[in-house]
Amino acid sequence: MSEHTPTDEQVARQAIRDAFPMDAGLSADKTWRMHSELRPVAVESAQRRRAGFSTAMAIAATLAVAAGVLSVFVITQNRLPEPSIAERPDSTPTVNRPNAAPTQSSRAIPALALHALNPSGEVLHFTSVAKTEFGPEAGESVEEMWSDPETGAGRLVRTVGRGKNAVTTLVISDGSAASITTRIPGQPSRTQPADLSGRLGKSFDRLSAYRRMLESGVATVTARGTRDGVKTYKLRAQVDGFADGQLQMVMEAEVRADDYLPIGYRSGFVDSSGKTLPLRTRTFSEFEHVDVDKLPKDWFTPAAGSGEGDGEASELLDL
Amino acid sequence: MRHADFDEIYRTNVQQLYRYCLFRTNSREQAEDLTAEVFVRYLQNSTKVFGPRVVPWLFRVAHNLCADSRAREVMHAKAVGALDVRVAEEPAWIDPSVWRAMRKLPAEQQQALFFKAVEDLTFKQIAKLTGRTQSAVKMSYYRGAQALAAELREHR
Repeated sequence: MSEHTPTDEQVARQAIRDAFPMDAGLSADKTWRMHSELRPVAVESAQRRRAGFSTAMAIAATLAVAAGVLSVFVITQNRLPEPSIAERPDSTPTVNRPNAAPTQSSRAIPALALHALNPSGEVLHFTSVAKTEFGPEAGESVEEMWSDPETGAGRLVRTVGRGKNAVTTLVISDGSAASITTRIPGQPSRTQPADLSGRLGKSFDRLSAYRRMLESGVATVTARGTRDGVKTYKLRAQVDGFADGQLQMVMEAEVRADDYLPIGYRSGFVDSSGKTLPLRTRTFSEFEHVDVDKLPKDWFTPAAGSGEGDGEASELLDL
Repeated sequence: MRHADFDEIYRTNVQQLYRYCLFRTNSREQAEDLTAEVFVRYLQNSTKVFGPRVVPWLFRVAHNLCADSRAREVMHAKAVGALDVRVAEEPAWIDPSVWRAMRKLPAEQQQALFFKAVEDLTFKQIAKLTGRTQSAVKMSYYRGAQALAAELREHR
C-alpha cells in the first residue's frame, strides 16, 4: 500500500476544508448603505407590548421581514404615510374591509406588501392584502390572486422561480389567526393553520419574526430621504423585548415612499444605550428593476388618519 | 439576566453558531435566521439556562433547529418539485458534491465533522460543547469521516 494513501479522515477533513467557506461569518460590520440624505423625523410613540419599556427607547415600529430574499412589510393604520396611490392611474378604490375597523388596540393589518429580488436580479413577488376571511378558492391563477380581493379575503401570494409559479397563500386575520394554503397547479390545495412555526417552504421561515411583529407593536417612520432620486422612508420595528425591556430585538428597513417596496433591512438586538448586536442585513439593491406593473393596483389600503404625529424622535439603529 | 451577560454570550458564540448553521443548511440566509432564533430562544429561557450550561444549550438548540430546517426543506422541495421551479438561492458550500455527501450523514456525524474539520477543536472540547461523551464524539467523527470519504470516492 502506498505510504501516501490518505486515510478516510484525511480525505473527509480536506474535502470539507476545501468545500466549505472556512472564513464564513456573520458580517457584523455589514450594513446596507443608508442614504446620506435620510433625516430623522419626529415619530409617534409606540404601542408597548410589555410594561416597563423605556419611552425613549422603543418608539414604535413594527416591521416584519420575511425570509431570505423576501421582505415583509406590515403597515398598520394610523402609523405610516399614505403612498401616492393617486399617482398610479390604474389604481382602484380601497378594498372594503367591513371586519377590520382599526382601533387603537386593534392589530388589524390593512395591507401588507412584499417584494424582493434575489441576488441574480430575478424578481420574486409577494403581495397581499390582509383581511379577516379565508383566501380564494383553489385553482385560481396567480394573476387572479394578485387582483383586488373583492370578497374581502386576504392573500399573500408567492411566486417562485423563473416563469413558474408555486402559489402559496397566507391569510392573515388581524394578527391573531392565520392559515397557509399551498396550491400547486394540478394538485389539490392543502391548508394548515399558520402559527408560523409550521410553515411551508423555507421562504416563510422568517415569518416567525412577522408573528412577533404582529404581537409587538406598530411600524414607525424614523427618517425620510431620497435614494437615487427616489423618495424613501426608514422604518423601525421592535419585534420583541427581553430582560424587562432592557434588550430589544429590532428590525429596521428602508422602503420606497410611494409603494413601500423594501430596499433593504437589518435586524439586531439593541440595548437601552443604543448599542447593537447585529444579526443580519439584507439589501435589495436593484429595487429599481422591479416591474411595478405586475403589482396589484389596489394592494394598499390607505390608513385612516395617517400621517406622522408629534412625538419623540427615535434613535436610529447604527448596525 | 443582565444585558452585559447576554452581550458577552452573544459575541463569544455568534460566529461559531452561525458557521455551524451554515455548515448544516448550506444557506447563508437560513443560517442567519437560525442563529438569530437560537439567541432569541436563549433570551426566552435565560432564567433556566445559565453558567456552564449556556454554550452547550446554544449548540443543542442550533442543532435541533438545523434538523427542523432540513425537514422543512424536504417539504418545500416536494411542494415545488412538480412545477420544476428554481428557487433563487445562494449556496454556501463551494463544492456541491461535498455538500450532497455531507447531507447524507446523520446529524451527530455532521456535527462532529464540523467541530473537527472546520473549527479544529479537540474531542474534549467538542464533548464539552455538545454535552456528549468524548468516546461518542470520536465515534461520530470517525464514522462520519469514513462515510463521507466513501461517498466522495464513489461519486467523484
